[in-house]
Amino acid sequence: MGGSKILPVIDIIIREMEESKDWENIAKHLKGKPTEEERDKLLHWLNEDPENESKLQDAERLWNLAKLPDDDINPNVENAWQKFSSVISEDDSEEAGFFSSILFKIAASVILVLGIGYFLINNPFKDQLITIQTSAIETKEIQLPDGSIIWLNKNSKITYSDEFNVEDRLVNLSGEAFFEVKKADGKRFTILSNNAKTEVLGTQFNVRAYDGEPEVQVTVVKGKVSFSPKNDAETVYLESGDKGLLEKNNTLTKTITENNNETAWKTKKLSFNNTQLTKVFSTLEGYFGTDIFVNNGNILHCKFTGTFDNPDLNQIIEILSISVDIKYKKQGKTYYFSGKGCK
Amino acid sequence: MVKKIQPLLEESPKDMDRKGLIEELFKTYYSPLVKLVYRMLKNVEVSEDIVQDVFIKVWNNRQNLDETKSIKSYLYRSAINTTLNHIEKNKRSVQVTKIDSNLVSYSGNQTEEKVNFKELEKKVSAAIDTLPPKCKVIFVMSRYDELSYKEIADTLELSVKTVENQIGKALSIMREQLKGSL
Repeated sequence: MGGSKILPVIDIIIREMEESKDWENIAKHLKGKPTEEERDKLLHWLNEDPENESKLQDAERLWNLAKLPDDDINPNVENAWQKFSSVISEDDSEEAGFFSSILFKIAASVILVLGIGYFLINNPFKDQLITIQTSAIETKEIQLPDGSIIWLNKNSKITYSDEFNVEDRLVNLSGEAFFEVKKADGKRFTILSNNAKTEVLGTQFNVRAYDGEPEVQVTVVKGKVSFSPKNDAETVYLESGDKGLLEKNNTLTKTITENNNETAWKTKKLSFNNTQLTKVFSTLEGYFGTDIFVNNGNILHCKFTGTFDNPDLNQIIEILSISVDIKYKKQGKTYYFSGKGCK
Repeated sequence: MVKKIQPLLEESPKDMDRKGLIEELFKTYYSPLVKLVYRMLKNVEVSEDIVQDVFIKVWNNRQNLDETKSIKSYLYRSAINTTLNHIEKNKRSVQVTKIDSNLVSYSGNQTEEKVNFKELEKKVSAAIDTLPPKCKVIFVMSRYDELSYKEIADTLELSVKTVENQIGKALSIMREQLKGSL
């Protein structure tokens, strides 16, 4: 007798699960798009037990009776619009009452929320999403709940759920960010960006996934990173000095990092080692957002060596022009080089 | 380190078009949204306030609106989420209409008379009011706004299966409530 007491509880649980499944099927039958198979199942289910038929009949009645009356309430749209447009016209002569109203509080809190750069998408159905983004003139350092740190480059955005680190660690990225991921009980850290998926346990690496660019780039500084298209068709493992490229058509390539200036936006360090000026100039253009022109293609063949902490553009240009013997002129944010150049 | 995201709050040259757009949106969706929220809260003033707030949020976020996504879904989602949050915050003060079970079984026994259809409709409406808020909003959307499960799922960012599950749950709760009168 003693042991059999457990059974009814399990029975009840199973019965409740089946019940809920039955009702789900009824719901599907009423309005959804049941497949042929599901329709057959429903018919079969109806024949199983007369109670089932009564369930379906009651459900159908409820369904039709619940067509709700419209005339319960009739909002005055014109008045509401007047009220709304007076609020958004941001007139200084707002009524005093407005400041104490819910409207004002909400409007103020929205401005405050945007002001500190956090935007919580408040959906009680789902995990709350936390979004942090940067404008064209700022970078941000973000500490995640697991202790990992993200440096967010300009014009970039990350989103993660408030359930981050509960079961997994998932971050959505658009734009560019440098990750320093802490190890966390074997919990993987996953970054989704455009069509790419980057997974790690704990390491340091850079992900560049701007919408306008043809590919997603991952550069690894330390540790090991798994990099694949979202559909997992193939995977490459990247280690220190490796770089992964994923094109829009999911073509995956593994190459080596040509220089460590790719993460310079984060490390604030530029270094050139016998580097051709073609490359030096494109690095400087990218880092400082400047434009560089030459009057003679031979200049681009010259090579340059130098390391700069907290680099200053004018200083670099000065040193560079002395070391390869060229002249420059500055006009706004644009530099023009002239000289003989190198063969 | 953290700077104000200025562009969001600046007026852009596009603002003139956006004022026209928001007026059109407001005049199209204000009334259906108020009706939906009212169905949840049974308070005209609060319902109108909530919908006003939804449009103010849209307006304050106008630079950020993703024009590729359905603004209608955004409005509904925003209104519903605000409503559910409101219910959550005011749990104590929201009046939950309990069905008078005596009344239900009484009319259930009036076998001789044809049950008054209007009256039954009222009872069903009262039974809807007793549903848990999330379940209720999904059920109401499917009946009141005649939205398909797919549309509801997209609006609330849920799976179709969850929607079907919640509709099923609503039906089973209501059937239990109205046992004898259906």
